[in-house]
Amino acid sequence: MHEVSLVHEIVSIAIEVAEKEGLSRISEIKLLIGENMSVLPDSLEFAFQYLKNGKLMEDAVLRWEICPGREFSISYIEGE
Amino acid sequence: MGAQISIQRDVLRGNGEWAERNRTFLNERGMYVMNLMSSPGAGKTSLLERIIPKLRAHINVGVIEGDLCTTLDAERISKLGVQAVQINTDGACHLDARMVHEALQSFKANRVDLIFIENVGNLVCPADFDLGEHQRIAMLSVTEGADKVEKYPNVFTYADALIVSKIDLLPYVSFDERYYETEARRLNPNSSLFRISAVTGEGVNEWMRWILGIVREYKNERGSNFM
Repeated sequence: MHEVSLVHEIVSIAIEVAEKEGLSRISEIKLLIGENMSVLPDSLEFAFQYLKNGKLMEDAVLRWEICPGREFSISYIEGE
Repeated sequence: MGAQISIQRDVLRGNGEWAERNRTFLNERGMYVMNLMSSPGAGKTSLLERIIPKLRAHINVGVIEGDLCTTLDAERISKLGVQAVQINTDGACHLDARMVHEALQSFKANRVDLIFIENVGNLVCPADFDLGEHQRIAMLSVTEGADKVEKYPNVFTYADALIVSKIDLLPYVSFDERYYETEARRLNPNSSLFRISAVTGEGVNEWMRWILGIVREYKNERGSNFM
């Protein structure tokens, strides 16, 4: 239900990492989502379409893997 | 050729850092915090209206009220003569640790022993956000149905105490208490269970003694004079 605020965090982290690593395009953001978190991947994706950051993320896709527990983290970012 | 940059970073780390700040802030000031969570209308404010006058004979209490809009709940609590700070989330479905950090600044050190946080009425989202609280209390009213524990497990699994409210209505609704208790015990074997009616007052003293015991222990650990 709070996917928009979570995506906002994800986008902020991705921008920070892209700046640090000198990426001008992000192609993929990979998440690890615990099955006990109240997070719907489809809603994350929906929010991501509206919150992704301009040119840096225009072709970026969200991918995720479901794991046990209450993990909710970004595993990696791909880009160039 | 693209590069893959490993991050392994908790998305809620920002919230977690604020929660840690809150815990330090509270422990330095000897304030104990209970985070009260339930669906809207389960009776959180009514329960606080019942328990606070009783607690005030022993300790100083404050309340942080979380709602999407209005200051209605803070006004109800203020009438009891205790400090109530309202947070309006403007649409957000839960309180986060940063909002709470701001609200905590209103409470003066050594003036409050226990702060209740009345979270936004919602059985789903508040469970994911650590506010820096010492205890979590999940509440379910008998009119909602006993199956809600199984259907919304997180809020009940990660709570220190579970309260069934509105037990005065038990004769009129089909709330299966045995099923509720079985599920509660399965998900959360170590929590304390309470049955309360804010209307008749049944169960309120028992919950009060539990609260006072916990706050006393917390204060004693810190060497504060208490009761």
